[in-house]
Amino acid sequence: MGGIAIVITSGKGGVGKTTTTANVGIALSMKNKRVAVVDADIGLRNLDVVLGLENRVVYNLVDIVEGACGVKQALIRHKRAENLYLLPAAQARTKDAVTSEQMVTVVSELKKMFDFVLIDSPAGIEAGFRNAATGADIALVVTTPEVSAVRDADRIIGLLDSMGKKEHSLIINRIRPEMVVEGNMLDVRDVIDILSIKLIGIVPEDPEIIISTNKGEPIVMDDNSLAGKAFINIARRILGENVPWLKLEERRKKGLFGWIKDMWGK
Amino acid sequence: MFKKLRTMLGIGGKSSKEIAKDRLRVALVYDKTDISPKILEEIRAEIISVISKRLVIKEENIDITLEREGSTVALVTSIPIVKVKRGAEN
Repeated sequence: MGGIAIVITSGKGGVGKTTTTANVGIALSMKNKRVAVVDADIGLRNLDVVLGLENRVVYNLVDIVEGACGVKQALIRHKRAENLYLLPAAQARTKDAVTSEQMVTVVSELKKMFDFVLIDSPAGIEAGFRNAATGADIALVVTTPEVSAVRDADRIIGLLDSMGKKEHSLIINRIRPEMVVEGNMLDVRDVIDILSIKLIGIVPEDPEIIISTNKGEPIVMDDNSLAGKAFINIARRILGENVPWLKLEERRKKGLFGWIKDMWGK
Repeated sequence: MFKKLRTMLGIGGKSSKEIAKDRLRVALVYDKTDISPKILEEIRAEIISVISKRLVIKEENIDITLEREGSTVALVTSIPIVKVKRGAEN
């Protein structure tokens, strides 16, 4: 028995994997689950800064596989989310410092200690991605409503299938309802049509994300943020709850109305 | 401004998201079948040369595409016929 390992992946870089890992991790920990978040992006460590834990990193993933420390020693407990622990990546190393087998060993060790192990995958389809995905039970594929990101998501879904990782769902990040109304952004249905994959989250574009990352305080800790609610909803769906989709449509109506008012005004 | 209005009312040209969706569909099919546009162009020329032995066709109106239905990809083409060539009936 033990916990469930979830890889957060995308293919394309910059679509929000690390932000998703940090926020879904904290949201799960707020539901009283014990959570470990693992930064598998060796050489480009970032999960620590997004979580605000960069000053407390002592040991890392590579230290564990090289025997310099134990798994427990390398884990950093979050100050505010006390059920959340970070396993940082090494910064001064490259992706070949860890093998698939070593990654599986570390992840299964963590699964004994935690309810959920979230693995933040590096961008790309090479060894780093494979290492991150290989120990996972479930995959969350993050995309944005842009052609490049959706195409890469399709590729990643194909690779996950070929690795036997059939349990995967999609998170569509950075939706801009006002652009969807104008017909200038792929909407949720378009993306689902193209990728034919189960949906687990829709997250609106939110400038607060940049502010929260500046501070190192994940946005789920801010009660008023719509993006924060979206990440909490993803955590609830992971826990098996049937959560209605956020009503971006109401905002769309407002957007449309606002736009008509703008037009009359000019 | 009027372009936006036309898009919202569904008249006029395609919206950029429709263009994006069409382009993505085609790109993903090519990605999966490994048939490059160059090979498709060659297939088109070969089909024309075979058909032309029997039929007079409107070459410029031939549309040949790859379409995805579920997990299978089909080669779909529509070839407008002008007339049957003399002596081709037998």
